[in-house]
Amino acid sequence: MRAIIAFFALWALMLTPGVAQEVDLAKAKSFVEVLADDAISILSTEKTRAGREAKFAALLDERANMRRIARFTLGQFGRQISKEDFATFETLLSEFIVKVYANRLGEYSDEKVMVGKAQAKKKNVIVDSRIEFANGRDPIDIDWWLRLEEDGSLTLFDVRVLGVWMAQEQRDAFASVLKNNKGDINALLEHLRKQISADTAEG
Amino acid sequence: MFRQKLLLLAVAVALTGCAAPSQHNDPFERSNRFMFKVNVQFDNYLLKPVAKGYLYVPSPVRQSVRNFLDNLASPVTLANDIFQLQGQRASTTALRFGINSTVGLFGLFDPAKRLGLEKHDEDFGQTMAVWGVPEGPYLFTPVYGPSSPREFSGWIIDWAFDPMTHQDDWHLENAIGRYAIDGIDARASALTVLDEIERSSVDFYATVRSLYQQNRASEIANGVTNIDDLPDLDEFDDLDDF
Repeated sequence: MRAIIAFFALWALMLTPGVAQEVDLAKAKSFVEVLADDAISILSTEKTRAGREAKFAALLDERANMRRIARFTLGQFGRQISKEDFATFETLLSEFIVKVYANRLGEYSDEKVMVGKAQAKKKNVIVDSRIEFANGRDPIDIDWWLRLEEDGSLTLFDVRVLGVWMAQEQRDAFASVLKNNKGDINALLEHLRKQISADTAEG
Repeated sequence: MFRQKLLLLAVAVALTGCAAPSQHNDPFERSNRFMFKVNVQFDNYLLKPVAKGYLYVPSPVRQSVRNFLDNLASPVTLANDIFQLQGQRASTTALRFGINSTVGLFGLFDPAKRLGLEKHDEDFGQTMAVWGVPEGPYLFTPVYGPSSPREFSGWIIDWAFDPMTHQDDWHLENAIGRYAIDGIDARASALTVLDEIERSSVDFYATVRSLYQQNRASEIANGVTNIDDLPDLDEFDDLDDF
C-alpha cells in the first residue's frame, strides 16, 4: 500500500512542473495575442508618424524590458562602459527601435496575427505566430521571445521575422561599429543619434 | 556526370575545411566589404532601376512568372528533400510539381497551394549543412551576394543536377535569363523592405551579414525554432547591476 502511495506521490510530483508550465504557456500566448492586437491597432488607427511612434514607445516601455535588450545588444562590451554611457545608450536604443520598427511595420496595418504553439525552458518562452494577409500575399511566420521576470510577469525580449531575430541583428551591427571604431562607445552613440535625427528629418 | 559531382563536392569540403573562425565568421571582412560596396553600386545603377521597372508589369503576370520559376526549381528541391530524408516534404514537393505542371499550366499557376500544399525551398547548401559539412567563412560574392563556400558550392551542384541543365536544347543564355529574371523578381519584391533596412542600419554591411546568416540558419532548420539554441540571457538578468 505504501509503495502505491509513494508511486502516486512521485507521479504527482513529476506532473507538477508540467502543469506549472502549461499555465505559463497559456499566459504567454495571451500576452502575445494582446501585444499583437495592440500593435496592429496602433498601425491602423494612428495615421501620423509621430502619433504612431509615441504609441509604440509607450507599448515598448510597458511590455518590453529595455534594460535587458540594451545589455544584450551591447554584449560583453556593456560591462566596459560607464553607467552614464549605458544610460544614454539605453535611451537612444529605445528611440531608435521605435523609429525603425514603427516604419518597418508600417505596411502591416490590416492584417491578422494567428498565435500558434508556445514552448518554454527556464525563463524563456517562445510563442509562434503567423501573419495572414488579406490581399493573398504569402503569410509571414513571427516568433516572439518572452522572458519570465522575477515578479512572475512576462516581458518581450525579441521578435523573429523570416528567421531573423531583431535584437540579434542589432547586436551584430553594433558589435561591428564598435569593432571598427576601436571600441569607442561614443562612435556607436553618434551613429544612433544620426539615424534617429535622419529619420525624424525625413518623416 | 557523377564524377563531376563528386569532384565538386570534394572542392566544397576542401574550401570549407580551411575556414578560419572569427566573431561573425568573417575573416575576409576587408575584401568582403569592398565587394559589398561594388555590389551596392551594381544594385543602385542596374538591378534596382530594372526591378523598379519590372513592377510596372501587371501583378498577375509577375505572380505567374514567380510560379513558373518556382515550379522549375521543384526537381532540385525534391532531390534535396530526399537527400535530407524528409519524406513528408519530398512528397509535398512531388505533388506540387505534378499538379502545377499539369493543372497549373506548366507551372504558371499554383493550384497546389489551394489544396494546402505549401511551397518550400531546399538546396544542396542546406543539404550539406544537414549532413554536417561546416559552413566556412562568410563570403560576399559579386552579383550573387552574401554566401559561404558551402552555400556557393551547393548552388553549383544544384545547377549541375538540375534537369533543366541537361535538356538537349540547353543554351547558356537561357540559363542566364532564368537566373536574371529570378533575381529581378526577388529584388522587386524586396524593394521597400531593403531600402528601409539600409536607411535604418548603423552598419548596413553588418546588418546584411546578420540577416543572411540568421535567415540561412533558419532555412536549414526548416523554420523551426529550437529553444535550446537560443543565446543564454542569464548574464543580462542582474538588471540593477548597472
